[in-house]
Amino acid sequence: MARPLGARVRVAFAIGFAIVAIVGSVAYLAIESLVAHSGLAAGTYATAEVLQRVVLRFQVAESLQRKYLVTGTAADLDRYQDARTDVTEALRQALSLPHDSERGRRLDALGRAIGLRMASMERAAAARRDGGTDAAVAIVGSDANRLLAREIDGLVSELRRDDDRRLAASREIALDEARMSRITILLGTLLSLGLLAWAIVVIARYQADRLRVEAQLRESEERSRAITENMADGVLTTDEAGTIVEANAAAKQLFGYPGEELIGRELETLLPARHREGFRKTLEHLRERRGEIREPPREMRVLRKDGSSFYVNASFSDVRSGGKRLFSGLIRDVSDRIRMTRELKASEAQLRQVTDAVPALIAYVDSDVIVRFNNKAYEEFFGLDRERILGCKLEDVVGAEIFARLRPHVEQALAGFPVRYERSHTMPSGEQRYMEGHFFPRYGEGAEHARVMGFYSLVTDITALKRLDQMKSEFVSTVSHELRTPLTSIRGSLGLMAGGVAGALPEAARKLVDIAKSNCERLIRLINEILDTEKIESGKMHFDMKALELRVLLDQALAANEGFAAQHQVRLALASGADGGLVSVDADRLIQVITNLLSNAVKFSPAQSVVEVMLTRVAGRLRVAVRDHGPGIPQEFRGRLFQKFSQADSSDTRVKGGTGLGLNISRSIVERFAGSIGFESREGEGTTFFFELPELVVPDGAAAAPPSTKIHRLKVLICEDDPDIARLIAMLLDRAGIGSDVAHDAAMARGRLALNSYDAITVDLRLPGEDGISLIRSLRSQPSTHALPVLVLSAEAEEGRIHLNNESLSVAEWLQKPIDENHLVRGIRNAIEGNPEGRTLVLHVEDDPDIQRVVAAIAVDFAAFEFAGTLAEARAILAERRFDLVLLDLALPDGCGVDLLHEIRARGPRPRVVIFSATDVAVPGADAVLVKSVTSNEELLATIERVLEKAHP
Amino acid sequence: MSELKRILYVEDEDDIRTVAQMALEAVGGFEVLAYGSGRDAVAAAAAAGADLILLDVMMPGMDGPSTLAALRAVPATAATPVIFMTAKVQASEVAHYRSLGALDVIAKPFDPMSISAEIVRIWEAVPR
Repeated sequence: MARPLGARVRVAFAIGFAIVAIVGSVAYLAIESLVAHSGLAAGTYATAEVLQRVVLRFQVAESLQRKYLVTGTAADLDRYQDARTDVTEALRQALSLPHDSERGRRLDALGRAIGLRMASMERAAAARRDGGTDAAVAIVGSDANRLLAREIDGLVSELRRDDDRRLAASREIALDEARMSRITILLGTLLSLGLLAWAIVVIARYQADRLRVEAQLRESEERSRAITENMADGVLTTDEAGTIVEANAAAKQLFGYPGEELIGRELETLLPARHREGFRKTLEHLRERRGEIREPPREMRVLRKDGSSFYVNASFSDVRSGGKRLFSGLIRDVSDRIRMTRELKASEAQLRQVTDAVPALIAYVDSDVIVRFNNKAYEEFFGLDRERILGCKLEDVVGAEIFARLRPHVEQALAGFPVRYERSHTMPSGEQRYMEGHFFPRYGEGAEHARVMGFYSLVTDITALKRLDQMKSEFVSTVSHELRTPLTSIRGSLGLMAGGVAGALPEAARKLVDIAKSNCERLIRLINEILDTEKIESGKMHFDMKALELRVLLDQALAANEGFAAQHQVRLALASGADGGLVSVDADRLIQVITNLLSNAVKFSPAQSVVEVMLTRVAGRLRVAVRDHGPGIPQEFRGRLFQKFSQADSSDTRVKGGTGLGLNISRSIVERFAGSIGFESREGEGTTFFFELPELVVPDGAAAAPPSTKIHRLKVLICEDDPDIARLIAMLLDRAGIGSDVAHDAAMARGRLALNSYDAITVDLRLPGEDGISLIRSLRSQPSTHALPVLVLSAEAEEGRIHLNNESLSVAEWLQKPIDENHLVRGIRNAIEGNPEGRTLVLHVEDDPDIQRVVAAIAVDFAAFEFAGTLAEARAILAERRFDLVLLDLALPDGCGVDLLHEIRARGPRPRVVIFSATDVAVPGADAVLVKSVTSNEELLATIERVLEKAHP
Repeated sequence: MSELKRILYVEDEDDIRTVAQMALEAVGGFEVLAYGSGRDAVAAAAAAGADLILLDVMMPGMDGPSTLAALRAVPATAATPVIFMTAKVQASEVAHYRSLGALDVIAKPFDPMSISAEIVRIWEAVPR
C-alpha cells in the first residue's frame, strides 16, 4: 500500500514541480519581454522628449534672437547666446540617445538644419550689432532662411511621426506579450489547480489507507494484547535496563501483583536475592548482544509478591517497539512438574531404598535385553557399579556363561511367560550358591497391552533354603529312622506276644496286644509314607525303571493284599479285560500304588463286598481300575483328594487307619511313570480309582534290530491358538531335535493331520471355536488318529484332568503352563517312544544346543536322550535317574566335565562315560574319548554302540 | 551246609537284639549267637561256626559293612552268607548292600513271626 502511494506521490510532485517551473519560466519570460518593451517605449518617450526639448529650445533661442534684433540690448543678446548654447546642448543630448540609422539620419539632418538656421541667426545677430536693424531683417527675411525654417519643421514632424509610430508598435507588442503571459499563467494555474486537486485526492486516499492500516494494526495489536492477556503463560516485557514495562494477566497472577503493580518494577526483584547478581550479568550480556536474541528456555526459581517462591520455565527474546529494544520473557509455571519430578525422584529413591534393602537381586530388563533398573544387591552380586549395569546389555552384565544359561528363560519371559528357574552359582571364593530366579513379563499399557515391554527379574539366594531343605530332609530321615528303632522292638515284642511265643495270652490281654500291634503298624506305615513323601519332594526317590508285565505286578499286589482284605471281610477280584502289556515302571513303587488303592478300597468297602480290579487297554495305554462299593466320595471333597493329609472325613482317619499321604504319593509315582491317576465316584454307590500307564510297544525283533544311522526326526503337531506360545513350544522342541508344525485351531489341526503324519500332537484346551477336549474326542474316534499320542498343554491342565475323570481320552501327558522344557520334551518322548527306560538312555551333557540336536538325531533310533546344559543340571538329572551312558562335554559353563566323570566313577562303573569334547585329551575313567569336529557321525555312533555293548554284554 | 542252623547276629540295640533273637529261636528254631557290636562278633567269629551272618547296618564304631569286611578277613567266615537288617531299604541302598556281597536285606521293623521264614527263603535262594 505505502509503496504505490509513495510512487504516485513522487510522480505528482515531479509533475507539480515541472508545472511550477514551466509556469514560472513563462511568467519570467513574459515579464522580461514586458520590461524590454517598456524600455523601448521609454526610450521612445525619451527621444521624443529630447526632440521636443531641442525644438522648444530652438524656438526659445529664435524668439530671443528676434527680441535682440528688435531691442538690440546686450542683455537680450546674452539671453540669446545662453539659449543658443542650450539648443546645442539639447541637440547633442538628442544625438547621444540610442537610435536607429533612419532616425539617426533624420536627427543628423535636423541637427545640420538647426546648425544652419543657428548660423543664420548668428549672422543676423551680428548684423544687428554691427549695423542696424535692416540688415538684420534682411537676413532674417531671406528666402534661404525661410526654407531652412520649413526644412526644420518638416524634419521635426517626421521625427515626431516616427516616435509615435514606434510607441504604437511597442504598445502593440507589449499587449501581445501580456496576453500570452496571461494565457500561460492561466494554463499553469489551471494545471496547478488540477494537480493540487489530484494531490489532494491522492493524499486523502493515502490518509484513508493509512487510517485503515492503522486501524488494522491497532486491532491486531489489541488482538495480540488480548491473546497475551489471556495466555496461560505469563509474559513480561522489560526495557533494556530490566524494568518491567508490560505484564499480562497471567504474569500478574503468577507473581501475585494486582493491577499495574508490576509495571515499573525491576525484573530482578522477582528473583531470589542470590540470583539477582547473575541476572544482572545476564541482562548486561543480552544488552551487549546485537541481533536477534532467542534465549533457550530455562528453569528458575522466582518470588511472588508475598515472598513465596515457585518454579518457572522462562524463555527470553528481544522485541523492538517504537525504535526501542525490549526484552520479552515467556514464563510458565512449572512448579507442579518440578514437584512431580521431585516426587518421582523421591519415589524412585524410595523404591531404590526399598529394593536396596531387599536381600534379593532385583532388576528390570527391557525387550532389547538391556537392564533398566537394578538394586544394590544386584550390583554387589556381580561386583559392578551401577553405571556398568544400567543401560547395558544383560549379557554384558551377567557374563556370557551365565547368560547362555539364562537365554531360554529370557526368551520365555519376553514371549510373555513367567519363568521360574534355579541355578547354582560358584562365587569367586569357590563357594557354591543356589539361586532361584523369577522373570515376570511386563506388558505395555493401552494400545500396547498385548506387547511384552520387558521383564522383572527377581533372583534370590536360596542356598540357605536349600540347606534348610536339606536339613529338613535329613531331620525327617533321621527322626524316622530313630523312631523305627524303638518301633522295631515294640513291633517285634508285640508280634511275638500275639504269636504266642511268650505263651498263650488270656483273651483280654490278647485283644489289647492286637490293638497295640495294629497301631504300631499304622505308626510304621505313617513313618514310611512321610519318608516317601519327603523323598519324592526332594527328588531323592529312586526309581528302578524296568519294562514289566503289568498283569504280573497286579497279581503280586492282589496277593499281598488278600490278607488285609480278608481281615475286613472283603474279597478282591481281578476282572481282566486285557492279558497284559508292558509298562515301564519301578515294580516296588507300582505295587505300592496298587496296594494303596486296594487298601483304600478295602477300608471303605462294606463287609462281605467285593473290590473289583480291572485291567483294560485304552488307546495305547493300560488302565488299572479298582472299584469299591463303599459310600463314595463326597462332592465337596473331590477337588483335594490328592492333596497331602487329606481324607474325606477326618474322623475316618482314626477309623480307617489311613495316613492321608497315600494318594498323594501314588499320584507322584504314577506321574513319574508318565501315567495319570484319577477317580470317579457316586455317593452311596462306590468309587473307582484308576491309573493309566503308557503301554510299551516292542516292535518285532526290536531287540535284535541293528542300530540304524538313518536320521528319523520326530515330528509333532502343536495345536495352540496363541502364536507366541506355539513358537515357544516349537523352539523348545527344536532344541530337543523334534520337528513341529503349528495348527491354530481344531479344524486346522485336522487338516494338517490329514495331510501329514505326526508322531504326537500337543493340544491346548482353550482353542477358538472348538475346544481342545472336543478335538481330542474326535481324534480318538477316527481310526487314523485313534492311537496318536496326545499331550495336553494348557494353563488349565490340572482342571482339565479332573474334569475328564469320567472319560478316558488316553491323554499321554497333562502339562501345565507355563511350560517346563524338560517336562515337555520328556513327556513327548515318553508318549511317542513309550519307554525311554526300556531303551538305552543317554544323558548328553553339552551346553551347545546344536550339538545336542545333531547327536540326538544321529542316535535317536537306538537311544533315548536327555540333555543337561550344565554340570549342576547333569548332577540333578543323574541323581534322579539311571543312565546307560553319559556323553560328556568337558568345557561347560559351570565347570569341567572331568569333575562329573570323577563323581560318576566314585559311585561305580556305570553309567558308561564317553567324553565328547573339542579337545583331544586322555581322561582316565572315561570309556572313550571323541573329539568334536574330527569325529564323523558314524564314528560317534559306533563308539557309543561299542561302549554300550561292554555295558550290556 | 545245606541246612541253616546257626546264625551269627550282630545288633547294637539291646531290645531289638532280644526280640529278634527270641523270634529266630522260638519261631525259626535257629541257634542264635547274638553280639552287641561288630568287634565282639569278629572276635567270636572264628569259633562260632555260623551258617549265616545277620548284620545290623547302623552301629556305633564298627558298622555293618565294616563288620562284614572284617568278617570276610576271618577265614572261618570269609564265605559265610550275610544278610543285612536295616531300616534303609531304598532300592538303591539294597543294591549297594548287595554290591558289598550281601545276599539280601531284611527291612526293619520286621515282623517277628515271619522273619525266620524270610531268612530261610533267602538262604534257599542261594545257589550252591
